[in-house]
Amino acid sequence: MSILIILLSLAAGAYVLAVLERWAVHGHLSLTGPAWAALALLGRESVLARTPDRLFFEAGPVLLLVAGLLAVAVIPLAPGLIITDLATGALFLNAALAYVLVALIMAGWGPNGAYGMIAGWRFLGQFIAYAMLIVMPITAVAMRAESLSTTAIVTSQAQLWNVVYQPIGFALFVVAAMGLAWLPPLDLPDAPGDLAGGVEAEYTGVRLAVLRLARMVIILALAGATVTFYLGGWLGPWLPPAAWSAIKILFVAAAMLSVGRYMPRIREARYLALSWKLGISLALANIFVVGVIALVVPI
Amino acid sequence: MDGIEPHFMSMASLTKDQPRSSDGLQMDWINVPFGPFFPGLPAGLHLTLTLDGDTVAGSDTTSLVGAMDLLDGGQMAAADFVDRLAAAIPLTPVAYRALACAALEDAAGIAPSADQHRSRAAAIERERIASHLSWLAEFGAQSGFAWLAGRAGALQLAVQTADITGISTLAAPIARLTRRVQNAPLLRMRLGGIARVAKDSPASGPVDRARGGGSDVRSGDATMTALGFEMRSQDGGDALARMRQRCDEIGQSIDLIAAAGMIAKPGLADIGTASGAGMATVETPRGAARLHVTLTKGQVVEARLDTPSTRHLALIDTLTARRELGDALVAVGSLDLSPWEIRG
Repeated sequence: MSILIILLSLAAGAYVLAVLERWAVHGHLSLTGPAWAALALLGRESVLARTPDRLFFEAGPVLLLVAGLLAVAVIPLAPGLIITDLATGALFLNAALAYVLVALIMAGWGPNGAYGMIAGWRFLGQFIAYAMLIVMPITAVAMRAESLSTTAIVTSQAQLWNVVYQPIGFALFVVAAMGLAWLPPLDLPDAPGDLAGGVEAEYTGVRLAVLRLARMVIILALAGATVTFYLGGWLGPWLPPAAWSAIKILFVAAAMLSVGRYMPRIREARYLALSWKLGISLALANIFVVGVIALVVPI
Repeated sequence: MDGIEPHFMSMASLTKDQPRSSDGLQMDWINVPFGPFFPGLPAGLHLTLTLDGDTVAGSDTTSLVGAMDLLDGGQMAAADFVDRLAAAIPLTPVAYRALACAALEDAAGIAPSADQHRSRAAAIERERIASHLSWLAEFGAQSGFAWLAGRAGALQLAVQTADITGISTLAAPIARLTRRVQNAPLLRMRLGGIARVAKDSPASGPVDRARGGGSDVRSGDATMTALGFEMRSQDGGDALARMRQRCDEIGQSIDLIAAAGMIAKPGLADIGTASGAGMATVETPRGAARLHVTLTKGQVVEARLDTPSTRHLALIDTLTARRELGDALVAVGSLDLSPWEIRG
């Protein structure tokens, strides 16, 4: 039953997110817009690129969707409302999202086109920038909860949310999550002005619909992870726990979608330099500070 | 070789005679087309980059829309020539209309009135504002800065048809936009140090003035001097300096329009059946454009046009060489090429 509820919530969330994205990008708030766009994609011819690597071309979008769904599986929406409450949930989430890289390289390589291929390799470079900044803040979160279980991580924030307890980790995780979801200003793999859609450039029809749906699921998974790790998950007064989860996840996702509208795309070299020189130093400092607080003044 | 199995495929020997990257690695080089319809470049520009990984190893740029003959047939009526030239350069029709009028009047020996000079100058300045805002919008679209693309695009549309009062109303929001753009730290990071144009490279307009000094046709124009024009320039010569130069010129053009107090589409004086040769130079939004015309009994029989985008086209190879792809496209975009101006 939990699985069905979560999958239905995910579908609804992906739709709401698509509405918000259209609003953020095009400035039009249309509740039916994504439905019409999806129908148009499903009705459109699914063009096959000339001499593609068929396996990679077909499997890339599907693997991306699977990676997103696996990540969602360990995000608790309410006490007991989780697909699987693994003891190593935080680690599993990280492992599932690692396949985003594999899927994007496959989707970029598969069509045998320059834009997609460059986009795929660009994402590999981006991975080098964000990967450590996903893992290291999660380490500090798990240190406080003394567990890798996502449910335990939420309950560990009953007294104080992690966004207050470890704000540096929160900031680093959100920026890294935006890199993982290739959201502006870290949208190097699909940069419309550089690569005319990049990984998406050679996909049409149903395949493109799957690719876009997968991306929405990944954004939701990352927003869910942010809420779980830093914003107290389902915790909150008055409303039912699941409602708090939904509100927080949609708010974080909307913020992640909107913020890139107000800044230019960052250069790849600059992103790498900032991530490694500044980001990792801050992440190490965050782990140290959280460790000291956990030992001296456990909250 | 000792210690190596007989069928070992040595990368060193397999790639021995193939071209090397600047870092010594051998990779497949691919030719990738950007344009004629590419989101980050002006429509009509066909840029082919040879990519070594994601680094540019070479480039080839052509225009698919700039080869139109200046004369329709062997000769044409002067008024028709003015319309034809304005239509041939649709991104800045007012400046080229003014250029055609000035060249034909020079050939016919006619001097326009002071008011005509002022209203023409104001019309060109209005087009300069719109053109620079259009560039900001294009740059916003290229760099994923959606807010900038939307805001600059909306202001450009409003400016294009605004009268004197309209321009003064738009002055405040335009100033806010340019101030915000110039102060944005992420834009400084994005553009700083990219595509530095050398002092000895051929350039004009904002590209020239952004590298310190430079020239401006308006400096020698008595009407512009009377309106209070003084040439402005930036230091650095990179993409950031070019953006700042254009923002600075937007504010200056607003002041010049206010000083002119009148604005009108350039119109050709009655040249009758005059004959002669004439020349004019106008500072278009992209730089100095020069037109030579020959009139025979009121008919234009010969015309030669020199445009800034044709000059700037030669810079692309140098500015994109060994640049990462994103930086190379920013470099091309920062030149603000008009494919319609590229002759030949």
